[in-house]
Amino acid sequence: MAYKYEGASNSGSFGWFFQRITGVILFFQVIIHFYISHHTWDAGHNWSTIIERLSNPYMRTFYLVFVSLGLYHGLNGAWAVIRDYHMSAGMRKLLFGAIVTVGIFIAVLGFLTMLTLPKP
Amino acid sequence: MRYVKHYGTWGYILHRLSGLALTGYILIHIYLVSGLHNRPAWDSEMQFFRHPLLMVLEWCLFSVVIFHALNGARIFIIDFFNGARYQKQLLTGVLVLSVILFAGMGAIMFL
Repeated sequence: MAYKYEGASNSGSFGWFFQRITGVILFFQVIIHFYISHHTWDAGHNWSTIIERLSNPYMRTFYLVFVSLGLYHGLNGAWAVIRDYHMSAGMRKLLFGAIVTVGIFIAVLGFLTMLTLPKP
Repeated sequence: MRYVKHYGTWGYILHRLSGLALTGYILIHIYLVSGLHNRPAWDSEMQFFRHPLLMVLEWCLFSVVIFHALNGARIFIIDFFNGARYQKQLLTGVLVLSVILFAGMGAIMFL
């Protein structure tokens, strides 16, 4: 695999570091998420229970952060896996574009869900 | 990729596979939760998740999350706390703890 050296600011070391930082935050967020949103079947699936929980602004903030960091961490991880395989520069650009597009699309969808929820 | 597969390499392989699975899952999860806007459709969709097969799949999902989270902690220890010296013991700990928590969650869900 041929990598072009692009200087320290573009070396990918920030991505490496941020993957660990987001990982640590997500470690605790996923425990909290399981505890508050999936401790019973109703907590995770009953419409009224979910809407009532998410009407709390702290809960919404928690989930906006969770969605952002989760998507970043997951898609950055997928990109790290892809980069390890040999492929043409065009293919690499195509896959990177696909990852960014899917990420933005699902992030916007998640944000809209949280910010425009129906009233309980 | 053809690397020699030492014990720790399996941690690396499992971390990648579980990470890719979870990334796929989070995309689907966020998409499904956007269905909260349509209550009747939501209620009928959620009945689907009462099916025992889906309960078992959710149990498996939990094991993937647990492994990825614990092995992520192992990676953090390796990178920032000189954990490379005992990464094999850490991997054993991660696997044992994952199995225990998986069994525990199975007991909570099905017993």
